[in-house]
Amino acid sequence: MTEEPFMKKLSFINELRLRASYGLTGNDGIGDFASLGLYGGGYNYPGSSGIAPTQLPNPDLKWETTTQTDLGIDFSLFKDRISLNLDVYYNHTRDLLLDRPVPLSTGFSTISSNIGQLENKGIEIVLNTLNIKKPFSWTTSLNFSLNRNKVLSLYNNTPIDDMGRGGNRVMVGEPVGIFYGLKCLGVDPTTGNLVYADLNGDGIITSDDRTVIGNPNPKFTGGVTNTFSYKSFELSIFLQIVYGNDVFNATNIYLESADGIDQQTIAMVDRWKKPGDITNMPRVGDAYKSSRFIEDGSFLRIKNVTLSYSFNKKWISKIGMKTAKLYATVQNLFTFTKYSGMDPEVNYYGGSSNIIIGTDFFTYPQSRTILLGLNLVF
Amino acid sequence: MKTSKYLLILFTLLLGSCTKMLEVQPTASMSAAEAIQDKTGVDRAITGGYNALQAVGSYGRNQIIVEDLAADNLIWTGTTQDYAQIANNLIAADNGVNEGIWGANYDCINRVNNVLARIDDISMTTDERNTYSGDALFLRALSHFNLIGFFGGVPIKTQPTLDLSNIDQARNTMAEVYAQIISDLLDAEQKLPLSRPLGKASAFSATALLARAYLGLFQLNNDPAVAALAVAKADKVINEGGFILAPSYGDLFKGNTTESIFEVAFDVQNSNRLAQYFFPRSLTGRYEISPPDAFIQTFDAIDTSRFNASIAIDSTNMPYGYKYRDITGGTDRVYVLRLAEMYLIRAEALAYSNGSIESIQNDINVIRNRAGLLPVTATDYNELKLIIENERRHEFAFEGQRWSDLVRTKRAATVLNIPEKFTLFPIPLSEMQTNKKMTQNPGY
Repeated sequence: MTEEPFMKKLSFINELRLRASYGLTGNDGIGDFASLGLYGGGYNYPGSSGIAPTQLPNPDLKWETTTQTDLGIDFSLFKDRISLNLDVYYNHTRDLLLDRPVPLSTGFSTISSNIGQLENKGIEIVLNTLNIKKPFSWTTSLNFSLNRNKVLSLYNNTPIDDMGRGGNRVMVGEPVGIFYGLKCLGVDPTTGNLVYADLNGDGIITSDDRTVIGNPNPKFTGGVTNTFSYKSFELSIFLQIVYGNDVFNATNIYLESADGIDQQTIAMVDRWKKPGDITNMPRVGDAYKSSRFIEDGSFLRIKNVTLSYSFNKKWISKIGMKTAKLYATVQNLFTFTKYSGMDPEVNYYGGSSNIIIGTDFFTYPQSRTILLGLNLVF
Repeated sequence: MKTSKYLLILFTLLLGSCTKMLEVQPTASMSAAEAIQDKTGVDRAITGGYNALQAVGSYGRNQIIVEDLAADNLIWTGTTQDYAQIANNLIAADNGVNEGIWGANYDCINRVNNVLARIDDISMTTDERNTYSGDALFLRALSHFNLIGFFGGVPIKTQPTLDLSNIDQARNTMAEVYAQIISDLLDAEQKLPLSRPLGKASAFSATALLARAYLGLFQLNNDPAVAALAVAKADKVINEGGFILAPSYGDLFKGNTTESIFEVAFDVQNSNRLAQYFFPRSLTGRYEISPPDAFIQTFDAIDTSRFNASIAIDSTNMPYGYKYRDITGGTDRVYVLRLAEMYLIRAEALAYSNGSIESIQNDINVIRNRAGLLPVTATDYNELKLIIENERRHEFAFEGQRWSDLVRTKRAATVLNIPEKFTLFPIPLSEMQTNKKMTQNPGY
């Protein structure tokens, strides 16, 4: 747009571009032979080797397709002091590929199917600013993304239920992988037992009383990198932010269970001990996946701090080097979070599932690492 | 490698000279059509059926543990929360152990139904066909039987699942499932050889399971003719099976094989974790479950041979179930049917159908005598019924029988002090959500 005549007068705008795109992409993330009925080996019995059915055939299996609609604007102002890219998108996935549950009475648990539709919509912003120029310079790079996803339909509208240790669920009208369980109302001061919401009012607590108790998908995520440089020194600080996601702390099912085996959290000191005690910690743990174990997983993390010193090129060229840089880096310096576990960013299932997400189960936290280095280029 | 295959397909299409598409066949597994098309395939598929009995949801662990944990022989002393619910008889429909039992039995049923659906088209000798069919029928009957013990009437499955048609299946009544079990076993009884290696079903395994099934059906419908059938089948195993009671009770868990009518075999490659779940932490076990004091107190003071074979005390004074002892290898044999049960089935069928007091006493006393206990002299049926119940509790402790015993005799609610509705486990939530014709048990 900066090439247009009417833009020429606005000299502070270096570049302004509008983008719109629309496209279809296919995801063929189908395992090999996923459409065939299969037998597998290894189902042995002492002395003989055996086989068993491992997969139901699905001759109708096909690619999932996503219609992507994207509107974007890029501009830079004041001699590139400020540049911004903003994208708004809407992605509609059809023939969503997932393992659809089938009755266990068939001898199988799931079948690979194209079972529904999913939408993802969101905003992505990248903002780069040059705040102060030389000799002391300060640049900021900020990215922000916000995504909302929602399952629009599923086969027979049957949810994929109770996945993983946190009870993730895929159900129509909700984001993928929401936590679905009993709503815990607290501890009964008379008995010390947990009280759950009897949502269908039938007087007993059953799996029918479950409801959406958390969403592992963040409301937004972002990152800010500030880089300060003065002469040969450069300091760069990267902050990472994740906001509004819930974590299911399955570790605490054990660590707040009073089972007499596992170490317990310090919160157990305040457990219910005698009638009349007002506390959130019950007399004994119980097995239900309830909102009791849902925590706010929002965090702000000082992900990376790097201080570096570049040696003067005049000196080092004498010994045949192009650049020489001495640096110190700290990864995961500090995390601000209300999450009680070791690390709000981890998932015990290791990222191999797009449904079992946001669940902590004795997961190792990310380590804080300190690196000292010398970077030489000859 | 994969890339080159795709390139090949691409070139084939580009050249346009081939008349048919290139079909890549799986290498790590085989298509269902290829799997069972000759005798070797049948043999492997039957082995797969026996393998299903080793599953965690079957005799590999939970058929054994849950029967005693839901009743009063075991309490929960571990970390597995699903067991806590079972111990408290407050089982949520999404309980993983409960779902595992359901799934493991239907997995076994589907495995053998695949054989039964194809075996008639595969060439082999009549004896071979009979043996494989008998194996399949026996395994199908045992799986259906174990399902009704926990869940009540369940869908009867006699066809393999080959596609998505007919995956929604309604429940059958208990009587209907019993009829199927009995029909399968009568067939298996004719087809199976009289003698098999340990771990495989013989004709007498089918007869013995028939005795158990007739007893269950009799307790359901109170038809004395059915009680007589239970007695007849138990008679047959006792008189014709050639099984011999282990001379001392302790021998049963030290390698005696003369009493075993059917058991699930394990080895290091195909192991179970029973010892690990029973053993205390001082002996590197998990101690998930253990015998409560209340159960320990019920052993007669002179019932030492059974007590010592069943329960041990570790260095920290913790009692633990001691019938499964190979904590490192997990190779402990797991009894499904042994001769002692035939005597007690016969006694129970007679006691509940006003049979011969002397015969009932004799059968009980065979078991008591081996255990080193004094013979019973009671002559009242109600008294004898309780003696049989008590005898079974101690004879088959940790062998996966107690819950079914109490449910079969309709004594579970009284003995365990639980609401009648909780004498059936919940149909697993996943089944409720996916099988449109499934109905839940009351109370869940």
